[in-house]
Amino acid sequence: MMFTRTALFCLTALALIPAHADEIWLVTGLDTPFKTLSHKTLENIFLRKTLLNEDGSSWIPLNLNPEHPVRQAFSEALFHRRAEALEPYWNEQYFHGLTPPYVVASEEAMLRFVSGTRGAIGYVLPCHSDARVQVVFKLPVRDDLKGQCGK
Amino acid sequence: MPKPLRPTLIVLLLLGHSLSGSWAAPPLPPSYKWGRGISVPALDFNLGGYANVSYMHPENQPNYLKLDEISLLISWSPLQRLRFFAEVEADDWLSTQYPNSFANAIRAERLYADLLATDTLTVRVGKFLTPLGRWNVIHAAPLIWTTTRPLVTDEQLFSHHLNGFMLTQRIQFSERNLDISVYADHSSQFDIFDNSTTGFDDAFGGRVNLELSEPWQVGFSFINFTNELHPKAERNNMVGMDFVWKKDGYEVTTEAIYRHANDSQGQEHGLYLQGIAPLAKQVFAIGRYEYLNGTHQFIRTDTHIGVTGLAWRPYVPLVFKAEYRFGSQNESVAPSGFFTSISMFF
Repeated sequence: MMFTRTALFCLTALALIPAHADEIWLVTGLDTPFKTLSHKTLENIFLRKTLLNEDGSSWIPLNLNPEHPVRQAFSEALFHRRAEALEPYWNEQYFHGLTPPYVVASEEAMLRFVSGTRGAIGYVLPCHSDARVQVVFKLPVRDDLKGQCGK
Repeated sequence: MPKPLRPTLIVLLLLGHSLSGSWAAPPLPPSYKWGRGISVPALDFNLGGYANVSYMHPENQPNYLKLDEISLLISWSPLQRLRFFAEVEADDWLSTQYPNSFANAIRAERLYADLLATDTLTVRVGKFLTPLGRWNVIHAAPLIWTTTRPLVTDEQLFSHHLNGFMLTQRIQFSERNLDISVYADHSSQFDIFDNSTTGFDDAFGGRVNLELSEPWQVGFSFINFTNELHPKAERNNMVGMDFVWKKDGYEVTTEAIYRHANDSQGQEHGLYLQGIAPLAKQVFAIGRYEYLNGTHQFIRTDTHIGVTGLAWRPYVPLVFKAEYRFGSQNESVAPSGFFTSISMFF
């Protein structure tokens, strides 16, 4: 009986997890204005080629740690390269006075930073997104990240 | 004796002083990361740099060891639309060939302000690298693959710096970036940080860079200039084409130039073609062919050069390089020999 209840609970919990973890959602704070963001525009923002929003305020892109599965999936989907393959690019940018996006420790830290900082833009799995942020782009990913939703 | 205070500096000061306003600073603590410097997010400030040590063994000439570059890279963005950048360099100040003093060697390699006029238009004012080809704008030792520099990017061909302003417009189309830059220089008047006479007297030009697809880029450059050393000589016209392809550790780069002046400066044309291939973990093979023909600094040249070498990048900020250069009719401009160096971002 106990086993049946536990199994039922687990199935219910799984059913509540959104099924679209094959996307990563790009999010900003509710007061960050944005117009249309294309894949290329996002690439330019996260490579710090585009520093200003269309309304003239600064973009502050954020990253997760390079080892984080969501970071790796994000990098593959947006840049078609693994995160570490971008290091030579960041070496060049460092020589020109630009450093990579700030790194935060978790998706929750990403949500807190983004919701409290105008111009900040980050990414989370759909199952971790909430009302503190607005979704500005849905980035399809090839990796199966559903396992990250429970974390 | 330093040149008088000129408009470049005045504009830099005015930009820093007159624009007001503030913006929400990221709530992150200052941090240091090897190869990325000290970052202070609250001020949008970064301090880092790089160093290079070289051992040069040209054939039939004295060998020498030198600490030939220590550069500090300083960037600061006090306002959303304004960024300052400086590179302060101590060049060739410890050498077994030409003993130098630190005071003589130190100089401002770059010092400029970027005004972000829109999200795609940047106005740069100050001293910055001449955007002619690819090598010159990424010439820092930890970024490039060889200790020696290709002849067609040599300072004898064109000054590595501009003093003036540059407008850069990015156009985004079909998921590609097209960057168009135009600039004007008056180094003889504006370069208050350098008393050498190796720079331009004045110049103007432009560059177009197109990302053809993700690993491919092609660029076209044009510059019209006179040199500070020969200000009354005929003006030079120079055009360049460059191309880069990078994928999975492999890389192919080429730059070609043609320079012409109507007097004894004559004309010259040349190119380099460089290939990189990963051999083992973080070890890369390098091969480069160079060609230069014409009147190079009033000397007739018909030079062919080959460079073959290895680079080991055990960590992202650190690179060890070793190469052998050989060629024909190259002794006066780029002597054959063995060259090695260690470079690091800090």
